Amino acid sequence: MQIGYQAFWIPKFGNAVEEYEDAFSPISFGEEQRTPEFRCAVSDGASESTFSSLWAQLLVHAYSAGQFADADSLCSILTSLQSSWKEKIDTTDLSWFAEEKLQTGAFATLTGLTLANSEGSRIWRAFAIGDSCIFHIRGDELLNRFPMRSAEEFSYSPNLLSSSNANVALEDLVRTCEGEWTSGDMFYLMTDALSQWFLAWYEQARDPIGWLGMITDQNEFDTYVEEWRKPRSDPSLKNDDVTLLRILAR
Amino acid sequence: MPYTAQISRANPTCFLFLIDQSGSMDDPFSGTSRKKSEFLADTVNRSLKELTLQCASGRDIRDYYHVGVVGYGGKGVASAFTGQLFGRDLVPLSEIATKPLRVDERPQKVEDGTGGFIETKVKLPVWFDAVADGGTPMIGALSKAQSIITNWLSTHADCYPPIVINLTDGEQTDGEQPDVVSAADSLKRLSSNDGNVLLFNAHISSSSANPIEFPDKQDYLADEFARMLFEISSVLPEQQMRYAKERGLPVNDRSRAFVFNANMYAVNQFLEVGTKVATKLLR
Repeated sequence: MQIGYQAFWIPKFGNAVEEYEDAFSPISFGEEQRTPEFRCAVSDGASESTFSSLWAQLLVHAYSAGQFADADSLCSILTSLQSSWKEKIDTTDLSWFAEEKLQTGAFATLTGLTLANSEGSRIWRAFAIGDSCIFHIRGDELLNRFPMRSAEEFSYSPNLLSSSNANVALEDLVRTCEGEWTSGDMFYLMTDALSQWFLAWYEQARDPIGWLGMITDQNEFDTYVEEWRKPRSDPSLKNDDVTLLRILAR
Repeated sequence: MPYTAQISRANPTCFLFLIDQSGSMDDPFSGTSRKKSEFLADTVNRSLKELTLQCASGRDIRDYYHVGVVGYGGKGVASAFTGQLFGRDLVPLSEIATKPLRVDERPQKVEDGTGGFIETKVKLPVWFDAVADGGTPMIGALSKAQSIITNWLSTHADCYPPIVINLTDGEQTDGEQPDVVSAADSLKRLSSNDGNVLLFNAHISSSSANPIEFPDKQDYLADEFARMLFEISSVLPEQQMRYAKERGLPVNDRSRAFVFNANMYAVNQFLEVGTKVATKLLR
């Protein structure tokens, strides 16, 4: 299996780079790599929570490293992920608000994709908590969309995974999906703002697949995103951190 | 559409509390020994704490909000901040958070996840202590609010419209009702590019009568003072109206940002609707 991989990202307009709270994995994957199995993930740290980008990063790296792929396997490592999060935070001389916020913990979405090619059987498997999305494209056709189906499904309160609460019914939060792929298929992973844009334009027949296809490097990505989220009466793209992974599978 | 501006560090908005510090605030709520002035100080402290926590991330506070608190009572109309923030009108939240008068600690029981409880301590920062003395110069307070907000808008033309929250237990003593209406109208005529300044009014009561929350008409308001406060209160913007609905309040698109005869619970609920909803625009 040969994988072509690109990652693009930009923080919310008005925020500094350090305030970007999405995460993605892998950070890079070379030009085109041969591999029997490929895993990638995006996560959207909730800006209302604390140390959320740290939590988002732990989650995407754990998924990419194959530490979990469904509710059961996540359940078995959740407390150790939560301990890792806590350990990585310097708690010396915390102010009253930082300490109190730490008790509530961090929250993030997580969406992961695994591609495998084993004995000629090409399978993709997806995992999602929350509203970051995967779009499976063949040519100029949208074959699959997961987990959100339409632009109006997005809300202010998606499912989120907590960094401090271990007593959570993961089977209620986690969604999984799988299917087959053929050589030349493309997969996009993106966090919620761009996902909602994609589905809205798809529903309006404005060819988001074509538009994303025009993005070949980070500069072009920045230009298109800035244009789509320009303040106007009804901007196409909400002002939020934007993360896009493109995977070409052969 | 108005009241949809995205709030960010680059485009913050402001909350301005106007708090009644007149002598009658020394009276307790009906059926309790809790003085209105002490409850009000506690409530404003808690609101500042909540706003701080909304904006806290890691070790930082993101200045999505600047906040002011103006007291009006026997000493006239002035910023109610004391200590390091003495005399300040609107202060960035990061500065408020690091300059409380003191941080009290209170024990609190939290669930330990296995059906039991553990005792922890909750930190309660205090910026205001109770003050209750003299008359009720509400017209003066509304005029001061107008000048503070005018100043703010001159450098924040695109902000989510400022929210002014007036908490009082009774009628003004510095003029007649038409003067109150006129001062409130001048305040609400101010606007950013995203809409007009919002004026919320909470009437805090010693009476045992039931609170009237977010009414959409004056019909149930028996007395003239209540009707005036209704008249000067803004209509709830859609976000706040939807949030109030989620909390089970019977509101609609004509509901006013107003509560009359509020007891402690009603005041808290009122302030949550007024201050928490804006955070949904942060995401």
